Amino acid sequence: MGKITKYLPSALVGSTIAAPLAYIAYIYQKDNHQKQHAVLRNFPLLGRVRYMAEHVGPELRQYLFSGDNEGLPFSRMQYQDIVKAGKYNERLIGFGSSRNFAEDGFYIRNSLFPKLRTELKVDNSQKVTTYQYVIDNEGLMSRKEHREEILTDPYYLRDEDAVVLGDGYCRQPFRIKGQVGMSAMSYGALGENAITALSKGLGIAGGTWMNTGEGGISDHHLAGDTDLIMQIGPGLFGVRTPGGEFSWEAFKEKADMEKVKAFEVKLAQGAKTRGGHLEGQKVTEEIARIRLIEPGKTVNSPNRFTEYDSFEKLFGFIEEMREIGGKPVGMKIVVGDVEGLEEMVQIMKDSGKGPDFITIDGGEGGTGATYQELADSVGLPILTALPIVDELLRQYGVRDRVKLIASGKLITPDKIAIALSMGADLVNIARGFMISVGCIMAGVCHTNTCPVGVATTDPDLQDGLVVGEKMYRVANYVMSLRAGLFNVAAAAGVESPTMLERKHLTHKDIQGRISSVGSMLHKIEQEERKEKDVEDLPVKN
Amino acid sequence: MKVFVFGGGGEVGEYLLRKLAAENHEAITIAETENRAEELKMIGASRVYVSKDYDFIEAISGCEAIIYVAGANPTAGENRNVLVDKEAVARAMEEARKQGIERVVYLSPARVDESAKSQETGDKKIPEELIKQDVFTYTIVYSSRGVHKPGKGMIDIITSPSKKVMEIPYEDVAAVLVESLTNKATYNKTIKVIAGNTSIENALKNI
Repeated sequence: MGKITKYLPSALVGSTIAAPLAYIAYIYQKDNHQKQHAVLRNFPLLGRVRYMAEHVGPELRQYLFSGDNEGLPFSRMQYQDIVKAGKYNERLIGFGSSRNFAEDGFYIRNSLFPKLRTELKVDNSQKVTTYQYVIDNEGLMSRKEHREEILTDPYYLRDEDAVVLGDGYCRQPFRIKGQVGMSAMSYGALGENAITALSKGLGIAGGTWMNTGEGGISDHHLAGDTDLIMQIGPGLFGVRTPGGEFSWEAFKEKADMEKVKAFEVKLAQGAKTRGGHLEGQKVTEEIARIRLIEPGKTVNSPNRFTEYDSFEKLFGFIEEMREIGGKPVGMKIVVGDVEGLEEMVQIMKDSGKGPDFITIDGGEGGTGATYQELADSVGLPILTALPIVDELLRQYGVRDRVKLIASGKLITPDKIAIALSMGADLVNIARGFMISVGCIMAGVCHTNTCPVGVATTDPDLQDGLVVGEKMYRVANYVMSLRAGLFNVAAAAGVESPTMLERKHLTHKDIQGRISSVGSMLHKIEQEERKEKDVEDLPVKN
Repeated sequence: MKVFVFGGGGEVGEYLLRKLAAENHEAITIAETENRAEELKMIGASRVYVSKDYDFIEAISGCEAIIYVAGANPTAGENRNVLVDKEAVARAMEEARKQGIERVVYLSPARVDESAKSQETGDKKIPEELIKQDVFTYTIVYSSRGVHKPGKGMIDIITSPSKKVMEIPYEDVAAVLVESLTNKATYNKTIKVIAGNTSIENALKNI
C-alpha cells in the first residue's frame, strides 16, 4: 500500500505525458507515410488542423463568427425570428432594425394614415388555444423557462376576403382563410414526427393548408386537423398503377378524402429537374403503401410527366382531374423560360382551360436534397418570377381564373407582404416550418442524419422531436405570420393583406433611387425589345 | 336578458359578448368602425351600434342591464389616453337612470393586488361612487391581473386586498360578470375575485 502511494503521482504524471506523445508519434508516422493527402505528407499533425477547422467551421460561423444578418440560406436573425415566434409567441425587437439599408431592396409604402386595429377586416372571433414558453431566468449556461397555455387570436381573413381556389370552375372549391401554408414536403424527406407535428400544428392554427409533397398522402399528414393539397409529381406516387401509369381509380380515392382539398401537378421543379430517385432500401412497407410502389425496390421517376409533353395535353389532363375529382387542380412551376410561359398563358386564354392555381417556386426555394448546380442557378428567384407571371396572366385576361401561390424564402411577414403586393394570393413556406419544428440548419437533409430528427427517418434521431411540443410552435409561427401581415396591411393603409397590390411596394436601388414594380416590369420589356433588336443583327462572322 | 355592454371591444369585452350569447342573453354594444362592429357580431353581440363619438343613447334604449368594463370611454380603443373616463360613466349612469335600467355590473379598473395609492391613480375609483348611488342594483367586481389563458371556471372571493401578484384568465373575469348579472347574492356588493378553486357559480352563491 505504501509503495503504491509513493509511486502513484509519478505514474499518473508519466502516463499523462507519455500517452499523448505516443499518440502524436503514431499520427505523425501515419500521416507522413500516407499517399492520399499532400498537405499531411508535408505537414503531419499541423495539416490535421485544417480538416478539423473545415469540419467545425459551419458551426463556428453560425454561432460565433457570422454577424446576425449574415449566413445563407437564412441569417441568424431570420432563424431567431421564427424560433421566437414559435416558442415564445414573441415578435418584438429592441433598438431598431439591423437590416443594411444601404443595399437595394423592396420596401412597403407606408400610408400617412395607417389603419387602426379596429378598422382592419380581420376575423378573430374564435380564439385558439396553444402553448408558449415564458423565460423565468436566463444565465450564461442555462435558461429556466416554463410552458403556459394561452388563448390567442388566429388572425383569419373574413369570409368575404377568403381566397378561393377553383371558384366557379369545380364542384368543391377550396376556401382558405389565411394566406400562409406549408409548401410541399414529402413523408420520407421529412420524418414522421416532423410531418405529424406540422400537421397537428397547422390544424391548431386553422385557416391554412399542408402540401403533401410528391410522396403521397401519409397517415402523418392526416394526423392533424388541417386541409391538404395533394401534390402529384412525375413519379405519380399514390396515384399510380403497379405498371407506373396514372391510376384514375387511386386518384378518385384520394379526391374522395374530405381533408384533401386540392391537387397540384408538379412540372419541371428546380430540385427535381434531374428526376427523382428513391433507393430500394428506403422503400419500407409504409412508404410502399403510401406511394403505391413495391417495397424494397428502387424507383426512378422521370423529370417530367412522360405522357404530357405539351400544354394542350397537360391542360386536358387537368380538366379530367377536375372533372373526376371535383376539386381544384393547380400546377407547380419554376419560372425560367418566359417565352414558354407566355405560350402557356396564350393557350389558357384560347382554350379556356388551365389550372385553378399556379404555385411559383422561386429558384431560391428548397428543403431537402438537390444538386448544387440546380439549386444555385436553375430558375428565377421568386421576386423576379412572380410579377412576370402575374403580368402575363393580366395581359392575356386570365388572371381572375388563376390564383398564384408564391414560395422561396418568404419566411417573415414583411417578405410575405412583399410577395402579396407583387401579385401572390397565397404563400407557401417549407424551411420556415422546418425551423419551427426544430431544424437547426445543419445542412444534412440529404444524408438521413439530421441531428434534430426533422429531415430524417432514423427512429433514434426522430426520438428527439417531440410532437406534443413542436406542434404548438408550428401553430404559433403561422398565426404570428398572419398577425404580422395585418400589421403590414395597416401600415400600408389597407384593411386586409388581401388588398396589398403593386402600388404598396417600392424598390430602392443602391443609389437610393426608387422605382415601382410596374416600372421595373416595363424596364424588362424595354430590355427584351433591345435584345430582339440585337438578335436581328447579322450573325457575327 | 337584454344587456348593454360598455367596452365590448376590449379584452374582457370579447369574452363577455361570447359568454352572454352562450347564456342566451342579448348583448348590445358599440364599436368605432363598421369592420370592428362586424367582428363583434361574429363574436356574439346581437347588435352593434357604430359610433365614433360614443353616442350610446339610442343603443341603450330598451336594455334591462348594463355591464360596464371600465376603460371604455369616448377615447377608448387605440386612441385611449385616459385611464378611466369618469365623465363617460356619469353619462352612462344618467342615461340608464332616465331609461329605467336598474341593474349595473361594473368591472373596476383597479386590481385586487394594487396598492391603495395605485388604486386611486387617475381617479379610477370615483365611478364606483356614482354606481353605488340611488336607483341601481349594482355589483362591483375587482379582479387580479387578466391574461389571455383559457378560463378554468374556478375562482376565489377574497375579502382583503392581496399583495401577491396573481393572474386570472379574462375568460373567467367575463364569466364572473355574466354570472353576477342574475345572481342575487352579488346584488349591491363589491366583490374581489382571484383565480382559485371554487366554481364561479358556487363562489358567488356563497358571498
